[in-house]
Amino acid sequence: MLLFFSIQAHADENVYENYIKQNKVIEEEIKLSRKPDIYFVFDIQENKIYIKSRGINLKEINIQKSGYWGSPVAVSIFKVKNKSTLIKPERETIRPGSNSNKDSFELDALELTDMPSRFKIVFESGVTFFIRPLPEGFISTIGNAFYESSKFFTRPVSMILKALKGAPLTTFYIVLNENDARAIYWSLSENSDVIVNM
Amino acid sequence: MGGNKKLIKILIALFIIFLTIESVGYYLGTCKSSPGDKVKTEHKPSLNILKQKNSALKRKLASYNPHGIYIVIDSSMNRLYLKKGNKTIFEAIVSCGSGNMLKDPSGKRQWVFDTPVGEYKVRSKQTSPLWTKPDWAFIEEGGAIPKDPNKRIEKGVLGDYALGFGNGYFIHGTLYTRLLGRNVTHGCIRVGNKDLKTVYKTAGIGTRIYIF
Repeated sequence: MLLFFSIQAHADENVYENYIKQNKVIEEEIKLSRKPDIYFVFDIQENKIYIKSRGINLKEINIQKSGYWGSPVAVSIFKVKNKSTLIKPERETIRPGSNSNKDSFELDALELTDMPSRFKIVFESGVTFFIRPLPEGFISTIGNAFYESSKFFTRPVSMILKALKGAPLTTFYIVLNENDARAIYWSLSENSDVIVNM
Repeated sequence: MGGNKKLIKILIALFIIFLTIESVGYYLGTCKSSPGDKVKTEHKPSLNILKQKNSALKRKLASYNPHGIYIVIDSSMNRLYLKKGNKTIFEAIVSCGSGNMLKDPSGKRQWVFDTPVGEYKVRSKQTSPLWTKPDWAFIEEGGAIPKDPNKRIEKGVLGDYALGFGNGYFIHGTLYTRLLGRNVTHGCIRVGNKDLKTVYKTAGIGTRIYIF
């Protein structure tokens, strides 16, 4: 009976904490819904990323795997400072007169497949997200293995450097389906607002 | 022999330093201190109050939702959706902006052909729309910009219908149906003729458009 009551008390505590978090997420969403802008909700708890506006879901993306390094963060609105990747997609510059023959139109455009699936998002608060794709093929498997092994090498060193600088220690690692990762890179821009719920 | 012993001692010392740094860093990285969401015991509201607040907040958030039909455009996937609430009632393959740049040879102007993102509203609806070619269209073709405004008018290129949503951007038809699904436009959203008719008939002036 004691065991039953302790399990029940723990479950009640979880429900309580969930309501507190949920209410905080909605409060932050209300602030963003007042503007005619696109915003994002990174719901690490539910393993979902939502692209939203005015409180409605425009797109829902499943997080395949997630984790974080450092201190957990309170539910809050984070503004994107920058996103960085190894090879940034470049815009093509149209040469005047080059498409004068419309029947032989050659497509040179920025499309989803040009977007990187492995990149870093840095928020103004210093919190960082590393996005990477599910391993598919030899190269992405090697890339992901490198990230996994960095847990034991480069991450501890970067934690110490951040601690010395007084910067937030929180770094998230999100694994998405490759096209979903590209879609996030496509849609997210500098100064985008993101609500993080963990 | 003495040199080897010294080298081994240096290596051991470096290894110990390395392990110390790794351990401290690993501890900092995995030490989970509680976030600021937890409420102090003396100020803890009851679960019922939290539930009531939750309902009130959801109602407040829902008040910002679009009412009736709205349009969602996913520019990364080149898809247009007509939605009502959470339900998708129609889907179409479209073409969105190419993201390309064009520079005026004079060097004074530059255009970036992105489809704008955010919330918009249908501001105008036209049948058999005429295209008034802007300067960039002439520059792109390598031609001269005409002084006579009548020489800017082109018929038929925008299809049977056009819905304007501000700043010169339209949802309109296309002659290039084989390119639907690709990012090929100068910022407007091109829709196939049959799908465009559905969008035109369904969306009214003031219908909200969400583009991301």
